[in-house]
Parts: sequence; structure tokens; C-alpha cells
Amino acid sequence: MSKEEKKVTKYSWGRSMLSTKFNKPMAIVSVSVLIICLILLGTFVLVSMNISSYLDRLGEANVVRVYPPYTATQSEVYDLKTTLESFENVASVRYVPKEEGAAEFREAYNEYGEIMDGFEENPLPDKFVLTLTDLTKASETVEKLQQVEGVEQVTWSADATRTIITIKRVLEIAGGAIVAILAVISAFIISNTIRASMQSRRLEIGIMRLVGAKNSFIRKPFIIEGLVIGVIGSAIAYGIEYLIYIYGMQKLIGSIEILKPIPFSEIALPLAGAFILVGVLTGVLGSIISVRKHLKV
Amino acid sequence: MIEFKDVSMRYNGKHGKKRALDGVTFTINDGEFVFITGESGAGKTTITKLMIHEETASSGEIIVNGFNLLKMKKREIPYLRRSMGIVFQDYKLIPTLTVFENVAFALRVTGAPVKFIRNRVPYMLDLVGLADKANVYPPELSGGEQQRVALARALVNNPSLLIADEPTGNLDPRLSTEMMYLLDKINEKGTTVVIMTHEKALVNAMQKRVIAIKDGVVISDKSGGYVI
Repeated sequence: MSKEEKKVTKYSWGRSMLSTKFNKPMAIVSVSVLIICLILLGTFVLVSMNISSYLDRLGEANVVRVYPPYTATQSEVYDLKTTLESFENVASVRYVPKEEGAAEFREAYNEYGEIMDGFEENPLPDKFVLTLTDLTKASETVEKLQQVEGVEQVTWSADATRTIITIKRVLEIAGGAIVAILAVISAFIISNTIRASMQSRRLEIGIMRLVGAKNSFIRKPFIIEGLVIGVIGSAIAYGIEYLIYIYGMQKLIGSIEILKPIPFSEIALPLAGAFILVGVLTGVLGSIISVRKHLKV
Repeated sequence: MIEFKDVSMRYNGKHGKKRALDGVTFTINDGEFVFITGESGAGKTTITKLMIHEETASSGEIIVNGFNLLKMKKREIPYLRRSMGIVFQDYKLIPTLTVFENVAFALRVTGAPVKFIRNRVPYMLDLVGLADKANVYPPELSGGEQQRVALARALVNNPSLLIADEPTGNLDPRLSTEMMYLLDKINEKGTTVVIMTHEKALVNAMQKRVIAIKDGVVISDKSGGYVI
């Protein structure tokens, strides 16, 4: 930034603050609309994040079991583990020897676990329990796993996985659509505010041109005004969203036993980032649209 | 220096093309004091707009302070305007800024240092006799005072050229004479002064070079009194 630009930018800030003061009602409307949009958006994102996290914890979905043949030797099992660990799309590999499998079974089925006592010898095979990085590629990965040498059988709950993938996809698409719609609405309202602000300062803009102001000098205060609206809007919306989550959603979700709400501390940063990003982008975009359309310089 | 060479200007009006200027040619050298006279509608305002590049001529060549106006790039316009000061009949002051800020405005636009502004603006206000009105808002001032604020703003950048379009249009005869005296003083300090006016008495009183325009054509260019 050149010396002239620095000085000019400093002055632009002052002028834009002044104008926000002059057009208080319009600025308040803009900030309010932005806040409402961000809260709707934030609430949706938080609800879908909780659903996603619940789905992930369902466990059954993201599990692929790989069974080596009964006859496999210790070293063959070891080799297979190495192969699986370096396999594409495999996030983790856990070896479950049959003794451990029996213990897990007993624990999972409580009193029915006694069924295991009816066997003289442990009937369960050794197995590998795999989790996947990308569930959407689950069926391809399973197909490839079946072709690996030293693999007897691969099992996975295809239906559950597919359902979860579908739900997640719907949430993503709906989320994207909501973000787009709300951002457009906010940008439109903000661009109207900036237009009103420019119209109330037509004389000033004309004089700026006459005394040799560059286009950037004339535009800057309005862009800054949009930015300020964006930042104030997203900061207030974030505060309100926090209260809604702590006192509303978390209690509501927590009241259903199997659902464990995500603690706010875990989502605080991404949420703040998203709010600032959406707020600033719509604010700046709204004013750029207005400046381009109505400020023929 | 201002050079107009065979400049024509046509507007697209309701009844076809309207000719505002036709083959206007004149040269104003540095340090001159020149009146451009004519009745309203003769083409004075068009000449002003062409000089400050608010409009572009249909044909011809215009050179102002070294800028070739028909060939220059859009982003050079601010630099052309910084090389000149402009005063209008309706003053064009910002009512929500103090007299000081109105004058400082022209400096802030160029990114001048705050310290320089703090020294330069009071000096200009003193020059136009408004040192005690720095913190007053324009609507509280008389017409003559407002025009002097506009003059201070036009001169604060120390331009080599001052263009005034009907600067005394809203002033009574006594204030008009005062304004002329002020402009003459500025001219004596080396600034080229170009004044568009249709006020006969003022032009006759000053006895300077007069370029007379009628129906978009230069009909006379000589020193002395009002021609038409």
C-alpha cells in the first residue's frame, strides 16, 4: 500500500462510520436481516452436525469385518494386517482374536451372552474390524477387499451405510441451498442499504470527483460500510446462536437419551469462522453490487 | 496552459443532434486572467465541462495542463483535476462538514499528511478572509462567504489553473466585486484564472482578455470590455 493509499484508507474509515451514523435505520435493518439469516443458518448447521455426529457414532455403519481363513497361520494373519493397513480408503484396522470376540459378544448381549457357555470350544473366528475414511466408497472398497489374497470373507452392513450416506447427502445439499438463499437475501438487503447511503451522499460523491478523487477513494467508504454491517451482524448473531445452543438445543438434544449433544467448545471455532465468513462476504458483496450498479465513476 | 483546437460538441437531443460548440479554437497561457463570456446557452458551461473532463468533445483537440483530454485514460482524470481548482455558481459545499473540513476535503482526497492539512487549511481560510469561520457549517454562512469557502477549497491544492463557472451568479454586486478582487489577487500570485460569466459590469470593470461565445462559436477574442 502506498503512502497516499494508507492515508486515504484511514480517511475512508472515518467517512464510512459517519455515514453509518447518518443512515442508522437502514443500517439497523441490514444488520437485523443478516443476524436472522445467520441464526437460521447456524441453527440448521448445528442440528445437522449433531445428526451427523450421532450417525457416525452409530458404529454399525462404518464397520467392515474381514475374516482370514481358519487355517491361517500367525505370520499370514500378520501379513494380512499389514496389507489392510495400507489399503486405500481404510482408516483403521483392529485385530480381534476369537477370545476377544467372545468377550465382546458376552458384553454386548448381557444375559444372552451365556449362549457362549454352551460351546465347548470358542466358535468365533479371528477377524479384522476396519473403519473407512470415505463411507460413500464403501461398496467399492469391500469389493476390492474380497479379492485380497488371504481373505476368506468380508461382511458389512450395506443398507445401514447407504441410509447414512443418503441422510448426510440430503443434509449437505439442503445446507448448501439454505446458505445460498440466505446469503443472496442478505446481500440484496445490504446492497439496498448501501444504495440509500450513496444516494444520500450524491453531492459529496460529485465533489469528490471534482477535486480529483480516484475511484477507489470514492468506493472505499461504501465497501467499508458493507464490511462493518457484515462484521457487526455476524458478531451479534454468533452471541445469540451461542445462547440458543447452550440453553435450547443442547438441553433438547440431551433430553433424548441416546443422543449426545456436541459440546459447544468443539464447534465454537468453526461456527465463528463460518459466521464471519458469511457475514463479511455478504456485506462486502452487497456493497460491491451496489457500488458497481449505481456509482458510475 | 489550455489549448482548444477546432473543438466541436454535439449532444443527442430529442430533435436529433444538437450542436453546443462548433470549431472553438483558443489558447490560454500560464498566468493569464481570462473571461469567457456569453449569454446562457451560448456554450460556456459546455466549455467548463470539457476543460475538467466531465464531458468529452465530439471532435477537435483539447490540452489542459499537459493532459490531452481526448486521448487520456480514465484513470488519469483524477490527476488532471488535481492540477486545477474549480469553483461553481452553487458553491458545491458539503453541508454536514465544517468549513475547515470542506476545504481539507480536497487535500484528504490526495492522501495529504494530516500535519500538512492542519497548516495549509487555516492559511487558505485566512487568504479568503474566513479564518474565524473554520468551525462553522456552510448553511450558517452567507452566499459570499460560501463562495469564498469554495474558492479556498479550489486553491488548497495549489493548482496552476483556476476555473470558475459563474462564480458571482448568486452574489450581490458588492460581493461580486470583492470576489473579482480576490481572484485578481490570486492571479497576481501566478495562478491562471479562467472565469465563465455573463455579467457585463464585472467584465468591464476588470479590463482583461475576453473570449466571447455565441451559439457555440467564438465571435471575439481580445482584451478590454464585454463584447456581447
